Amino acid sequence: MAENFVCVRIQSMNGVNINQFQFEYDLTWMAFFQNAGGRTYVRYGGREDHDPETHLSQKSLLRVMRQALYLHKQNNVQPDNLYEPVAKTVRTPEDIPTMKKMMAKRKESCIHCHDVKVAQLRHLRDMGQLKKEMVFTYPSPSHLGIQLDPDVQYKVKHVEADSPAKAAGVQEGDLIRTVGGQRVLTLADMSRVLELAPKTGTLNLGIERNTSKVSAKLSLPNEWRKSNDPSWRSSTGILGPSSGFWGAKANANQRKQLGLGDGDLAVRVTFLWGKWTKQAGIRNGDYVISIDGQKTDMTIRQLQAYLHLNRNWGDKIDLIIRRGGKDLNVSMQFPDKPLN
Amino acid sequence: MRITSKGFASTIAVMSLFPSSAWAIEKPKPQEISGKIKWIYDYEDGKRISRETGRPMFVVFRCER
Repeated sequence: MAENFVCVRIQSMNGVNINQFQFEYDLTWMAFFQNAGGRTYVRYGGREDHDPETHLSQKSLLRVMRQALYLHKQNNVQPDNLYEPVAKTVRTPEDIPTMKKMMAKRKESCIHCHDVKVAQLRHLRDMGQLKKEMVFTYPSPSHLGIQLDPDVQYKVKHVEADSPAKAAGVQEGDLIRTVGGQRVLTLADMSRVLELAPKTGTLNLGIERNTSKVSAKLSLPNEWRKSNDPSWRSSTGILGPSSGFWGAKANANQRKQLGLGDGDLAVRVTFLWGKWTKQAGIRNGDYVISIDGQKTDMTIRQLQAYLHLNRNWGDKIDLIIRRGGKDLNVSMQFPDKPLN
Repeated sequence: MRITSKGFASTIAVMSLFPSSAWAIEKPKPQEISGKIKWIYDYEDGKRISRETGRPMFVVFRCER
């Protein structure tokens, strides 16, 4: 199938026109099917929180490739410049004011996808305009209760109970043909439309159900973009303070020795870098069993993301550390402002 | 700069008002991927070949480092 395409592999964001290629920069893989003029037929990529490959499959990719070839024969590009911009100007990651300083600290010159988002958020932070919610870009339709079939990504596999999709009458097996008037074939197409959807309001779906065409009006509730586990997003680190330590979830044997269950927080500290962490008295080998009142099981990435999203620089939090069979209550005072 | 209600993508669009920077960092050399697919590692080359051959482009963003 690939021989029908000019296969272009972009391995770094250096010099890429980000006025044209707007996508979820927290991802590590993303694809566009385009004509020779750079107009897009369909996007492919994206993920749910719990798994980076929920919607990446050979079957779905082959299907989308066939659809892209069909659209190409008809020169049927996405018509709406709002969703698939025709870039009249070139702007690269190097033009983001904070990028130069970021890259000066690197040994290698590769600008990664996530660097673009981090630099943009950092710039907003420098300007005093950063809001934590800004990290939740390119939301999945699952935020509105629609779980898409991974292989046929415009087909509804499941509708969550008590969700906006359920309330709008979306049904399992529905084929979602348009969202907000835009043709959608994939999760990535839908996430692109959702990225530009309002904070609250409604969004129209064009649906094919059996042989009928129906429409549904999705309500967008407050904070609908937020997801439960954004720990896969590298960009959360810009939003708030970190623990100043790295670690690993305790394994089954360690939990047994600690007397903790699978659902309990137990992160073993393996590396310390925060001055504030050392001042709190935390050491390598300690087990963190409570942080800021959170006692449920988390990975170290989830623990960091929790702090990024829920705490601010200058805050003081309490932790319980288990060391040598004893529990120690410690307080940690974050620096007043970001270190970089 | 005003953040619109349309979220981060609009923020990016607003930020595009910044003038293009004279600063540029050397683009890393591609790490060629062996296999059945013949990859092109430059987008403009891809567009040119697409024009010449009439084939659509399959543009993949993938960090290899």
